[in-house]
Amino acid sequence: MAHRSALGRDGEKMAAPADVVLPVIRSRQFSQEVFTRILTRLPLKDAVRTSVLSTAWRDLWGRLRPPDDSLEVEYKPANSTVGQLQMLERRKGRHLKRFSLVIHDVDETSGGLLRRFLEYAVECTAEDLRIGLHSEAAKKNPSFEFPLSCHLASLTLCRLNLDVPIFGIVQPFSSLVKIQLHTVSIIDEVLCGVVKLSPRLRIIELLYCSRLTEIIVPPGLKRNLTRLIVAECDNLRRVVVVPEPDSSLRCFHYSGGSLSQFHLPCDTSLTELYFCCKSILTLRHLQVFKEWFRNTLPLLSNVTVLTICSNTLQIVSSLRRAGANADLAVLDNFQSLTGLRLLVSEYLKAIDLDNIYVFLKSCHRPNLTKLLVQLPQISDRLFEEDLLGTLQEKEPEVGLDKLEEAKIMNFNWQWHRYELQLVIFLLKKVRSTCRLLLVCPRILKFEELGLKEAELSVIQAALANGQLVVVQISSNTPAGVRS
Amino acid sequence: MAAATDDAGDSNEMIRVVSSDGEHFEMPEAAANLSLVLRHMIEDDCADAAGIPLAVVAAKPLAKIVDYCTKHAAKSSGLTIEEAEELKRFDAEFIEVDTDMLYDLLVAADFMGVEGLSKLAVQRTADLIKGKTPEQNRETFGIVNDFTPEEEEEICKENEWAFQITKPPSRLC
Repeated sequence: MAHRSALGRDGEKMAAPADVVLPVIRSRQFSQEVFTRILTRLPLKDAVRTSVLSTAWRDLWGRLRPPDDSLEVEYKPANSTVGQLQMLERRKGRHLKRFSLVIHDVDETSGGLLRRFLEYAVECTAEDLRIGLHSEAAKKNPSFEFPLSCHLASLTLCRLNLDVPIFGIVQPFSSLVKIQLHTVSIIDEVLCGVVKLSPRLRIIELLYCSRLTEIIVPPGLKRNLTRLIVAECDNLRRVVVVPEPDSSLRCFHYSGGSLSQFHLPCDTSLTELYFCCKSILTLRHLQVFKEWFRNTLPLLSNVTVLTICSNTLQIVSSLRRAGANADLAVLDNFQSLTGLRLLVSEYLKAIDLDNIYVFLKSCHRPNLTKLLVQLPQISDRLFEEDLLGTLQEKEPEVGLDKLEEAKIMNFNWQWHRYELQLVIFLLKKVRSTCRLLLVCPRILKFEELGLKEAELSVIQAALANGQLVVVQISSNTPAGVRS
Repeated sequence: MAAATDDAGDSNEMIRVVSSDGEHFEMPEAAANLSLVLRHMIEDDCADAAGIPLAVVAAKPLAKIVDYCTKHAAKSSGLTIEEAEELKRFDAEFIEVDTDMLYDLLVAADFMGVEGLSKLAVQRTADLIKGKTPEQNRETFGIVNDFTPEEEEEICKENEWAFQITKPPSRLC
């Protein structure tokens, strides 16, 4: 401990590293820690100004400021922004690993200034470019042209309007590896153009890009897609990834509606799969996905984390239901699965529980350690109890031997007996060391749920020994919903 | 064996400390515990009748620190809003000192590891720097400008935006 060693009677001052000369204030010496604290409590401008006090102060500031190869610009229409730009432009020719431009607000003069900032990023051969609009600025829906460097390795855009093919590009992005678009108003042609010109692209993430209707990834010279994330692009109809000879997609994430064409080559390299298809009226709409799963399921032996919605589970289980024996041969998949997350969009119905049973039964080599069942939050609309549905499947005997933790979110005991049934099933099957966590929106009283004596005693025993843990979270639902 | 005679935590044990210029002070153990250094010494049974020597803290700042710790130790747990307010007022008055005393407190609080006081003195020092020109700050802190005029100009130019407005209030950005 530095303080104690400094407590010697010889009155020696606390020593900084030998090569560091710290400033002296009125012949008193302070530790670097004290200077750091003083500088970090100053407004940036005042802190920067201390660098001109003396060489020792300059060096102190130099040790504190962030590494020079990364630049963050917070843009607001203001005079200081122009000053900052001019200051930057005097330092051309340096290399930037990262350039991030956060646009808080815009006015009519902003287009030109923003372009100059981004031209500066090109001149500094920025590798990682991030441009994001705050919601205030995004409301004004600014459209501005900007150049992109061919040295770019990663491009992240958030809330940008790319209506027109504004990338005035002819040369390929020979280094672009990752493209990440969040709430970007990009159209098919622009995306397609960028992808075509990026032969090394490995990571594509498209979230909330509602103007896209298709995502097409043509073959590229050295392109080796490892991660593809497509989420909530509401108007998407087609996803076509042309296979590469040694494709190695490791992570695929789809969340959205049904598609008319879905072509994605996957093989045993896939380790993380997230599949959530929403607002589906009948399974017929999911024919495209069903076909994909039929072809791909046998290859999913290395998936370790699987997240699927109840619709997808229905597809997977329908393929795995033992009706057609010919299919059984391909059922030995998901053998590496360690984490299963199930997203239930309505409430847990008999068919969902059936599907879970089928899924667990056909996991031949279960390594599952974590199970999450995410139920929907209570909404204004009350769901009817699933009185018509009846359980078809028997509980699986094996499949949960290695489970360490199971969690049910938004456990809504009041109406839905299949949720309770799932809990009791889990309690019966898992090892005593596995913890089961129920996160409920309201106080849970097991005695009042009309449980059978045997079931109640299973639950009470689990509660008593700490295996079952119930956590109540406050719900923002109006109180009236319950009655 | 000054420490650990009482588990209840409000032991009336007095801890003796000796300033660099040989003056003796006393404070309750709870107050001494606010200093990381003193706490470790007490835990290691180094607090004896002769007092803990503090080699770099002179009597004047030490008297202030003893005051500070005694006041804060007395009010350490379960503060009501009024008491918290009162402590805040105490802090504000406590740190209204001349710059010489401020720097002594800054060194001493850092050295003795009195976190609350260290924060207070750091904030006060930062307040002194804030909104001043470099020349004013050099004067306040007795800093000798060892730049060549060219070097100084270069730094100002590099961060022109920070040096443009020199009159307080200067925080436009």
